[in-house]
Amino acid sequence: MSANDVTHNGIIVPADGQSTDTMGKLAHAVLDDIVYNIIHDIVLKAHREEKMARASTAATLVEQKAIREAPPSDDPIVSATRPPIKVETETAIYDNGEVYIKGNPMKTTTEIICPKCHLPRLLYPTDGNGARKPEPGVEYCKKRPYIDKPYHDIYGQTFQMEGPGRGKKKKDMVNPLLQTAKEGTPSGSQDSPNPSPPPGEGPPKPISFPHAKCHNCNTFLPIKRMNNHMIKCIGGGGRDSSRQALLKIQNNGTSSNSQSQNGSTPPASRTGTPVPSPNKRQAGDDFDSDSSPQKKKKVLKKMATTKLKAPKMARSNSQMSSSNLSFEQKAPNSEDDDEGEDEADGEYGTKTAANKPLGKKMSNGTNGGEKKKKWLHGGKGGVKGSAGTPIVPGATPTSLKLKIKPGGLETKVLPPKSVVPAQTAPNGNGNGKSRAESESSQTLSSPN
Amino acid sequence: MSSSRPVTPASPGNAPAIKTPQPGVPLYGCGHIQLLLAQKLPEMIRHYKDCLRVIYNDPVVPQTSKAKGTTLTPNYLCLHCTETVATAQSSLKHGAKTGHRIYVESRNGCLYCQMCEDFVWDPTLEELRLRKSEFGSFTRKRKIEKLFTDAARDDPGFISTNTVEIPCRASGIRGIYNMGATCYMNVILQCFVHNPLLRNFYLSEGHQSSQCSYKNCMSCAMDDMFQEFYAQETTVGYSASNILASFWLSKRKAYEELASNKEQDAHEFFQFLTEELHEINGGGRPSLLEDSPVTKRNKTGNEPNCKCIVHQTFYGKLQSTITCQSCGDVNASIESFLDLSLGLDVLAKKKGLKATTQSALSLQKCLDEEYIRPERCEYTCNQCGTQEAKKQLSIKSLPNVLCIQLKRFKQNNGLASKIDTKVSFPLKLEMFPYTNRARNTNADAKDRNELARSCTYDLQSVVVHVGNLETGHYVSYSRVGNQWFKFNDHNVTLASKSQVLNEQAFLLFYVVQSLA
Repeated sequence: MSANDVTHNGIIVPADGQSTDTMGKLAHAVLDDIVYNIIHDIVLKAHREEKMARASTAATLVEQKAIREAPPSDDPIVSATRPPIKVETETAIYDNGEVYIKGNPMKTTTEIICPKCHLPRLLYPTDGNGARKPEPGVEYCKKRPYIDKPYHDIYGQTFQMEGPGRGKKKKDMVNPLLQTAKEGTPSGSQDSPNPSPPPGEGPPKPISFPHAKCHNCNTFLPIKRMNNHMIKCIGGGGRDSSRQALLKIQNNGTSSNSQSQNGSTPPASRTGTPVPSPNKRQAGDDFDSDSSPQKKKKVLKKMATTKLKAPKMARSNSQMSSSNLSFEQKAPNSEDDDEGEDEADGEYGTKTAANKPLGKKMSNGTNGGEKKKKWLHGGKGGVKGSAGTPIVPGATPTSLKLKIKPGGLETKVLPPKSVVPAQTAPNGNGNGKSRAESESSQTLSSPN
Repeated sequence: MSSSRPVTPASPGNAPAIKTPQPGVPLYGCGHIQLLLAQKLPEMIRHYKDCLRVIYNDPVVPQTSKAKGTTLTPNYLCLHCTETVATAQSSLKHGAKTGHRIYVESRNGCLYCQMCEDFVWDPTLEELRLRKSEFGSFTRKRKIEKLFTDAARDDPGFISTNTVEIPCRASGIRGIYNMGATCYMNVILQCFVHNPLLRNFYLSEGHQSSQCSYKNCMSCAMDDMFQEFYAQETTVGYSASNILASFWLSKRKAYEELASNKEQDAHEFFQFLTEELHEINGGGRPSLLEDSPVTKRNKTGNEPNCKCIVHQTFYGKLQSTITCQSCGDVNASIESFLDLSLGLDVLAKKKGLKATTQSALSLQKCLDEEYIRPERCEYTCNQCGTQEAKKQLSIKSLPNVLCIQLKRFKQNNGLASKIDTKVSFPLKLEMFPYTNRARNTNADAKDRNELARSCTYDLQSVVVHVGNLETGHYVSYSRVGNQWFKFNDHNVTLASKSQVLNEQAFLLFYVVQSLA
């Protein structure tokens, strides 16, 4: 193991008879030494890691043996008066709480035992690059070597490649898992939640997308929809909110047939990129997604009312978010009793009116924030910048990312002014009308 | 710095001792070291410290031996006497003559036992070596340690009764699901999860979500996330929905428009998150009663004495010195920074044509340009009124975690575009040349050496942006131990070092070596 046991530190040997001048010799020697040093340091690092792991294995083993021979007692008197325990294994000595190494653990110890759970460590990955079959019937420590396999993550779970690079082309449609399944035998990681099935059963299922609870309104919805849901559920502050409100007003005044597509302009990605990915359809349904398991009972019961309920929640919450109320108390309320929605609505409406100046301040703040510039935008999947364009053809350029100019301040302030009074009218017609609008927009905006 | 004064075995409170026994760790590296240390512990520790000092402070000396002169390859210093041997044969000869069997390798200070014919890793001596190699001195400590050293908490009994062991399976390596264009968020969260300081802060109950009365508190959401990552044995991705909700509900005006369902800038989210966490953990959070946006102080993170976790982790200080060219009047100002931003467009211009040639731009070159080279600036001198002045930026204090942003965008006639220049970055970054102490030339070589060692940073995380300005995708790389992982939303794969280093980095997180 000693570095100096090598007679000469030579790695690069010049060909015989190759004449070298003094500088050549010097350069050769320096290069030689440098390469030697690099390897020396790498090997030393690996050696350190390995030897310390083995020494700790030896220590753990002897400690375990000591505990077996003299189980620690809870009685302090007994443990104090007991004669010091001395236990010895082939690799280490345990002497009254202290452990001494016997010999070189690199030679005496062959396996590595987890110091925490006292189970042997698996030394090779179970799948992919450099995989070896683990000994059957042996329980290993749960800390395993990470798996290095194409289209699989470090735990051996599969995933479909997504994002840039996986488009509509023919080769992108081919499931790479099918091909890898043919080549290798996916032995399947043992404790991954969706283990790969034995070969012949087709590709293993990729990691599924779970549902998550919205922390604002406590509904369960697919994780991929969460960010878009936030716009409806919390909304308010987003950069599009003022623009959306403006569009709503404009469309209200000018054309009546555009009502179907106005209202709160659906979030850009609602129309979705036309990429036919399997997740897309599932992603389309938001509130009426009856696939969320936790919510199933409720959804069944209120299937008819969900759509009525949804816009209300969205709106009231967005207003509340700007009025600094506690959401948690109100949100379930509005969710649960549909009968009392008119009263509730009126209540929210007045609150919003009271907080109107606040809305103004918010938009001012946004303007102040314009100094900061957005640059590298990252996202993935359906929510591409281009996805926003088809919704309102007239406003195509504006619905893209645009900085709000100082002149836009007026338009930003406008929406709360003109929308809020309509709602403040207690249980009036205006209220019902705006409800109807947002309803229609809501239902339309989730194309299924 | 105790290294400058002679360490005597009698110095009070500094009596060398064997490391207290820990379960699962042998007391000594091997039987031979055991014999030696049992007999002459103070003497050997003194010798070993001397060896390490000479190895790390003045590397020429240990590389020189009587037999071979100065070499590049490792020599072996006898731990007992002043002999330096270069080969195995001469060490055997020396051992046979004197009975000295333990040697110190001259490049890293590792111990070699002639009887075992192997390197040995003795817990007591190894601790000294790590301290010297990482801190630059045996006694220097990072300020951060005060935060974590609590006498009561250091008691092993206290620890075992009040803590939960991390399960073997939980390694903190999990993906985070994309919630619809939230990959800018995921990459920053991954960088936070693998940040050792933030991890220790949250895992040592720096902010307990169970005891926090605020609703939708971002710090609570972070606490939950750290618990999920390090205490659960699950291997599937994490749903950061509570962080997203806290993000949306946070009423931080400057970042208001960040909360949208569009793609966003990861660096801005990083700024948002640090400010938010600073306000929560730094005690600057306004109470719920006076919750109007006006009274909310506009925190920019410039409070000099904030002790919150964000300041302890990310904030350093920058000194800018403006020197008048005619009268020599010096005007210095100090400001704190969260990250170092390197504008690639400006740098490319400065470099002129050089950047377009084959020689790739390196991070060190960018830093040279920013923090070593003085630049002309528009400034009117108070003393003489001339407008010729030079501005010199340098780093006054370095943070524990250094975040470097490579600004990959430029504006041409109002049109923004992305710069795809490749900037090479090192795994180990020497920050000493960019500090103002480096300019202080009267420090002797040994001090400089020690300082430089304590200013060495290890690469911890890299955030990469793929695509163009309008749309694209973020992925991140993080290191756990020596292994790199690639985090692409919920997909986690192994990554090689070369893969990481070949990426077009956008954000780089360096952790000071002594903490990494």
